[in-house]
Amino acid sequence: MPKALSIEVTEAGLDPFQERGGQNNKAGNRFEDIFLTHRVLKHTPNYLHAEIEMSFTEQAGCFVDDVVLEAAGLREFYQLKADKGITWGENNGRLKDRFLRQQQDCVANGQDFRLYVVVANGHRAQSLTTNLPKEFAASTEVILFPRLDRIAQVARLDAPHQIQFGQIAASRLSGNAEWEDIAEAFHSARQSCAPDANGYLSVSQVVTKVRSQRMARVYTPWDEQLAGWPEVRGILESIDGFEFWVDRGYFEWRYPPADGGMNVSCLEPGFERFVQRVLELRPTTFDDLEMLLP
Amino acid sequence: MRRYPESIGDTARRLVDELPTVKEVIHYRAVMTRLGEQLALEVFPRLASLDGIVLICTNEDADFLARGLLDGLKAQGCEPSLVCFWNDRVSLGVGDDRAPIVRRYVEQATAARTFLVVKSIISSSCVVRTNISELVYDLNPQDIFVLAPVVLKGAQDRLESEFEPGIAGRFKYVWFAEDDQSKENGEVIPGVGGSVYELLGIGDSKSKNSFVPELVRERRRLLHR
Repeated sequence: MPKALSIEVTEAGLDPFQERGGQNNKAGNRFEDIFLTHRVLKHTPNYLHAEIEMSFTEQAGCFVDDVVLEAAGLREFYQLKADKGITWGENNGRLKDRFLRQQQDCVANGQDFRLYVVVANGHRAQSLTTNLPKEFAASTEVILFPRLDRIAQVARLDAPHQIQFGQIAASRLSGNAEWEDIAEAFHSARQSCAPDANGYLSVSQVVTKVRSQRMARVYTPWDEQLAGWPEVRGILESIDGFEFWVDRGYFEWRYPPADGGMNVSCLEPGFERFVQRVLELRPTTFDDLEMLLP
Repeated sequence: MRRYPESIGDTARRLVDELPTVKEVIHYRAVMTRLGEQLALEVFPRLASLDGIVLICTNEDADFLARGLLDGLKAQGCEPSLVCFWNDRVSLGVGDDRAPIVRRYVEQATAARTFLVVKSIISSSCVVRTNISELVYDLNPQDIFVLAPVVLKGAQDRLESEFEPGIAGRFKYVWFAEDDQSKENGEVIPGVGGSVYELLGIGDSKSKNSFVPELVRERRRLLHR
């Protein structure tokens, strides 16, 4: 877990611009809220498949502080501006000054860092990019992120904001509805997880909550260590036309061209019961197997 | 208070009012099947084409309401593809339910033009939303008919709010009764008379997913001939 950010700033209140950004602005809050869950989802394949943790917080109390992420030693600071009129120079250069001071703070603390301003308007993104102050141009990027009404809409974002739901989902066959469920579940879990003493949450906390409360079906490694499973695997493989997978932690099956399903985690008692029933009844056709399927 | 569409026929009105009073499973199934036939009569004249129609139902409705709808359409020369979903129910918080698909039967439909999404009752619209959402972005139909004997007041708005305007604008509805009251557990009054799974005799909200409709078995046999 990362250390507290810029303690001297938060405790001494040295940031004259601090406004706990957007807390009085419902649309701005939604923009931030969805953006943060999007970032969590975007990182999740790295956690699930390479065990790379990411911690994150909102309204961190530093200069660029709407969202702060840290993964693999890199700290990313995001300022989100949903309004169409924002410029680097408005309000006596307030935005510019925030970025400049954040950069100075990171350099002084020897941090590996990147700064971002996130806007929802294409013209604004272009203007901010064109006029990016040279003092922090090398460490700063302008991101155009769409204003979404619902978190479920992140399931259909294209590059560069596309999320690799295929690597998050336990199912390899399911489509948009499953991805929307995962987005909703991560959003809900993120909002209800308790942060640490420094106000940080981690992707692992969110994934753990989603899994433990069965909020959505997420990729989970399974070592196939279950009594009777090797024999059941052989029985299932011998059924003509039947296909199945357990490598994402759920028992998923397909009987082309029309049938398929995924209803039980390999770690749940329901899967053990299925294994036992297959061992007892030894189905040889899909018709025999169908009533045993979990 | 129950409200009916102005155009409702005598038979549909009699059946939808009879439904909550029926206690025998066989009788309940029969009334539901006949309501499906009545939905077919209502929706058929509104179809822009008989090609590219996809009937989407849940496993609990397949053998009864959807069967009636399918038979009614077949009688008019319309042969929809069938999609049947088995939905679980997951709560993410108060008023935030999801209905993940745990099993599916999906007949291939190239150039889908019209969705007919049929369900015995639409209240939270959670299941209907999931099942439309699973297919609509891939198949991109021009019309999406949502068909139900009974709807809870506000269900249409709730459903449409879950989709972008470009999708929500394609929704059309056929229903026979709109109720405006529900119990704390979400059961609509008088609605369809209680838990439709139990009234249809296929278990409760969990065990109903073990039920494989005969309609699915019949159509699968044709695919595997």
